[in-house]
Amino acid sequence: MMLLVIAVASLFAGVGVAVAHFLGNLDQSTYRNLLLAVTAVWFVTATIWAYRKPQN
Amino acid sequence: MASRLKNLAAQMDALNEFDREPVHEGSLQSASRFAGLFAGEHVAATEFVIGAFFVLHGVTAKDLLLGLLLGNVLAVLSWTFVCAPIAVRTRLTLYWYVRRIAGPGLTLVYNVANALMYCILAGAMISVSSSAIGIGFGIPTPSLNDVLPNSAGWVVLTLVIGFLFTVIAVLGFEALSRFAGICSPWLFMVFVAGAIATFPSLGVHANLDNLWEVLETKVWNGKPVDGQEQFGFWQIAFFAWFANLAMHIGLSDMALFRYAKDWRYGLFTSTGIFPGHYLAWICSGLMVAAAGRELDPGRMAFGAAGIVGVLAVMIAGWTTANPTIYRAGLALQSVTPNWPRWKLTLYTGLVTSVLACFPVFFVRLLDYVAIYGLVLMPVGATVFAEHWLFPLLGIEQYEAEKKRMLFNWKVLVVWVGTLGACAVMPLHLFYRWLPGYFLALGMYVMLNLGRRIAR
Repeated sequence: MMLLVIAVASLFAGVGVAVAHFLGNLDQSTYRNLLLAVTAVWFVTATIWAYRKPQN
Repeated sequence: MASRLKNLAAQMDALNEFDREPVHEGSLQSASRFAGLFAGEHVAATEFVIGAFFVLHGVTAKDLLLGLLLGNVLAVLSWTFVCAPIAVRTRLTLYWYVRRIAGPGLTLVYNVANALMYCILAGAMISVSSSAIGIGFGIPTPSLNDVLPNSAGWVVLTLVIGFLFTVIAVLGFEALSRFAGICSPWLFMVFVAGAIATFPSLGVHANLDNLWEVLETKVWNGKPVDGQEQFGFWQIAFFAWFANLAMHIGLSDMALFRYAKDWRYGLFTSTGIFPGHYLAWICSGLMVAAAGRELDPGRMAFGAAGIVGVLAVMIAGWTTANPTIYRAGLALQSVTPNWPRWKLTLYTGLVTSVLACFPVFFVRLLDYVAIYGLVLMPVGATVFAEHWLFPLLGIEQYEAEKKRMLFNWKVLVVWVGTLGACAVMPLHLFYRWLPGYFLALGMYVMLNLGRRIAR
């Protein structure tokens, strides 16, 4: 469950960094790097969550 | 010839054998399952191109927002009132229902036509991915007026990418389908984040007080780029309506809705349509406007989201081209006796890769989407007439099945006649399917009026 929460939070974080860039709080380079980081978090957590073994 | 066709039809039947029987009561799926199923659909590589094209065609902001709203509502209603009720009543796939109506021979022709359409669509997806990867190699994306490849680099890149996609489709289709499910929410996030990140370069103020003005003057400003026809409200509305014509009016999604407990589950298509065919198209419009109104999916995504944007275009093309190549291979399997699935997928993928080298399918994507739906629409009309109108008019149903016909010539006449009429209609390409649909309904009923049963 925690993995799913982190995965979903990373998606919101991706939109968040874009908003921060729009508001002038992040420069373009930082925005792009953070977007790459949240992408990595999404793929790791969502993949593990999707392929986890069902619990009895 | 007839016996050859019979053999091919029998092979096609064998391939679809697993879903020959109507879905049983115990296999029906819940409403939440349907809502989730559709939520992941319609965020594909083509979204990067379609939304951008609306900008290049000089649509105004108001026409875009209202046109997409109307068109998408009509699409959802088409799934709900045309496709889902027939699927729920029959519990069959379109393949088996068309077979009862058109005969196995004509069903085979329909499947092959469908496969060819799939190949071209997959080719367009590969082209979109090539535009992203080409950035890294300095290979220019073909321009809007290109029909033939613009450089040797483009051909080599597209063939290599097409080949890689094909090998992956051959090796692990199931695993990739699962991976595509993981990518879908992330792709949607990239669309939204990328669009928001274009605001500073478009001049949107932080308090959004000039947002509408920017949208009207810098994005959907009503001025088409050179060589592009101007679009208005109705073109946008019709495009959004027919973007999935083969699925709703053409009834392909009977394969999904036969598992629905209720025909009203058709409304759940809105969970995918509005994020994909409304929000994602708007986002890609913002991205292309920020990228200087130049159709180059890779570059516009890079400008909006950096390397993540390039990854998104590449992965979107990959995850949507693969099932398309696979489906095309499946549909063609009947006409290549004794070929294993891998071999057929491989050949289908190679043909698709060659098609992808020709930018005409990618730069004329809107027209191609219109033609794709138009070609398959008359068969959907004959199924609708047979299912709903024949009982109302007292016409005996399923003549082809009862008389064991290989070809129902009436369906063939309606199919060819409707397409012929649509070809010469003095209407914009986007509008032709609608009168064509009613023409097909009328023709099919007229041809069968002689079979009315005395009450």
